[in-house]
Amino acid sequence: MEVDLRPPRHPVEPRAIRWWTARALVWVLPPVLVLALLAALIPPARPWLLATLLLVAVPGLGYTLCMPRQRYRIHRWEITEEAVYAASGWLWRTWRVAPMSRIQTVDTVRGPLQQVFGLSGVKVTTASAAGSIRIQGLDRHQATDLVEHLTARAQAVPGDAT
Amino acid sequence: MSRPEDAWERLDARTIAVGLSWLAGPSITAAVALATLGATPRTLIPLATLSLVFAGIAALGVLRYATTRYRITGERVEFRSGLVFRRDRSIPRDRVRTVDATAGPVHRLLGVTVVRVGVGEQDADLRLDAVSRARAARLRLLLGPRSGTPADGDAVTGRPAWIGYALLSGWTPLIGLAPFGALFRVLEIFGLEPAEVGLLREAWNAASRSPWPVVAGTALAVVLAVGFAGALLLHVEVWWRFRLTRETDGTYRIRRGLLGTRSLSLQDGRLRGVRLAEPLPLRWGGGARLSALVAGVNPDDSEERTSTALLPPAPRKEALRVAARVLGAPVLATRLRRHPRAALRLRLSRAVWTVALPAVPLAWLGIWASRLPDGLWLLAPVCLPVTLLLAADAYRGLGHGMSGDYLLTRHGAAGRRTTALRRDAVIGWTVGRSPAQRRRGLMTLTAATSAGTHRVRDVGVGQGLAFAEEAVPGLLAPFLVPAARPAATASSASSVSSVSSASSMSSVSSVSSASSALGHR
Repeated sequence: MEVDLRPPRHPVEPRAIRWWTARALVWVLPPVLVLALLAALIPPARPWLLATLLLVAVPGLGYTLCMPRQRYRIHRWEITEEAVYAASGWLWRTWRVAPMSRIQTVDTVRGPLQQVFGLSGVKVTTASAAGSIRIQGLDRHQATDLVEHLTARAQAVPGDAT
Repeated sequence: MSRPEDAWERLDARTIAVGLSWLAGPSITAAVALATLGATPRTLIPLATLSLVFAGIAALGVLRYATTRYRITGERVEFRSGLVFRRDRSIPRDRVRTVDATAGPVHRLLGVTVVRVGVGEQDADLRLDAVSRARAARLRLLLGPRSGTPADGDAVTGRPAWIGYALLSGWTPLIGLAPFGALFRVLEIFGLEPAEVGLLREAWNAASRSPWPVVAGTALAVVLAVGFAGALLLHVEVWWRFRLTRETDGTYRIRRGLLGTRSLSLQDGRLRGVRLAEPLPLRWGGGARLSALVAGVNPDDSEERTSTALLPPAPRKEALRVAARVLGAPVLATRLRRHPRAALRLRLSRAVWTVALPAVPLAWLGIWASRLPDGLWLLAPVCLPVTLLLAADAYRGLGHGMSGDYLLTRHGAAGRRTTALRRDAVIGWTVGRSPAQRRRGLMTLTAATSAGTHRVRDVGVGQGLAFAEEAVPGLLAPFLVPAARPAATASSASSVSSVSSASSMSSVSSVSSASSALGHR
């Protein structure tokens, strides 16, 4: 029988869309502004600078508009009795599963931008660097609860974590 | 020799001399330069810098020697170092996974050895740089409760005939170029123009008089000759007197090296599998490299990879024999399952794109830069057959399978590798799908283990998920659903998006259930 992965049960906070948009703008805006400024200040090079500006701004705008919504549709998470399951990505997508018995540490991670939107991420680490799972864009309180819950669960499940 | 087990000990004092030794080369060069060129600013400035560095390294060495202490008690290995940033570390002896003893030529001359006590995570490893040879031998015994004597009938030794495989190393051209790079670097340090050196000027004059195919041919021959000689020397240095033994307590011990010796002891219980690597030139010669997958050692780290080698580059048959002996069954001989034809199409289209994309800028360059030939972009169609052949070969090599306690995966063309991994070593799955893989109903399955990550590339979605479930029953099962339709069709992209939008409709209710599962908000 052919099988497929189902999406994890819970979506992330809708506010994460705004966070991802802000993060996209942090990357896209500086080069656009610099190019615009240069185009305004240096008339002889204006056609070239404007062409470059267009080359940066159009894909940048597309990225800023599409990426956050697409990410919101893909980024999902789920905790069961036995495992942590999370999906992430937008063009390149990943689904990760780690069993409770192999979890070593559970942390919250919060960048400055994430804090502005009251968001927080949860990082679940296993003995393998590639096995760690990040759930980004959760509500701050929800993330704290999740970390507590996971820490308690991981301790309750026997396992040597390696 | 009786000795209080728990007394704090220092490193060996000869360590300081080892630290200074690498300045010997530059010192000699500087002395020669001083003698031949006289005391000019050109020679005096490097000389002054050199003596400063000399003093600095000596001071650091003394400081390190004075501040580092270690001791071994019944249960723990303890280590203290640093003056300003003090570091105290203590490792339970039963967490020690590998003991690695390395001695470079200078170390051996002075009778000391660097010992690395591996515990798993890279930055938590203890490095004792350096202790006396006798001490290193005792530290090796840290591994087991009581290290046994080698069961000699079980030894694998390197054969002299295998040295031929050294010539099939992919590094040969680089090794051949290295001395020339070093020569120009030295000239640059002393501010000499290459044209000032008589020998080089003559070579340049001769080259500029001859037709270019002769020059190119000669240059290639010289580089390859130097490369082959270098590769042979390197092979002898690294693999001299290779010996793999299994001791009575189940510890594997690997010893090798001519000028610098290396000895690695690893516990049987830390073995997670083996990896058979067949890089292209070696594969043409029917050879392969075999290395152990050890908990806490990343097999993709180039330095660590050679340290866990179970064999020098050797005939494939011999590698399979040793693998079967280490794993207890001929696991690597298992027939692998093929991947869908879509994986071949993906590889072929990737091969076309990798040559087509650079062709555009090359064509531009040909038109714009008058010094470059116009037909530069023709390189692309010339390279195309090679990349297509590699793509087809990569598809032929793709496969995955199962044999007893082990799961197998194979991929790669230029660097083909077959991995046999203990199923109980898997500590998590990652499913990755690129846009191209989604169009073709493929995915890449990654097994995370404490001995590196291991991929099953471009496997069919249903096939790959079933394999993951078969290898580690129960882990993935709660997240699997019957596929809506056969996955290998191009329309699967639209069905995926409809599934995710449907589930985001129901997401409002699931948020509340999530928070109740977590207790409260």
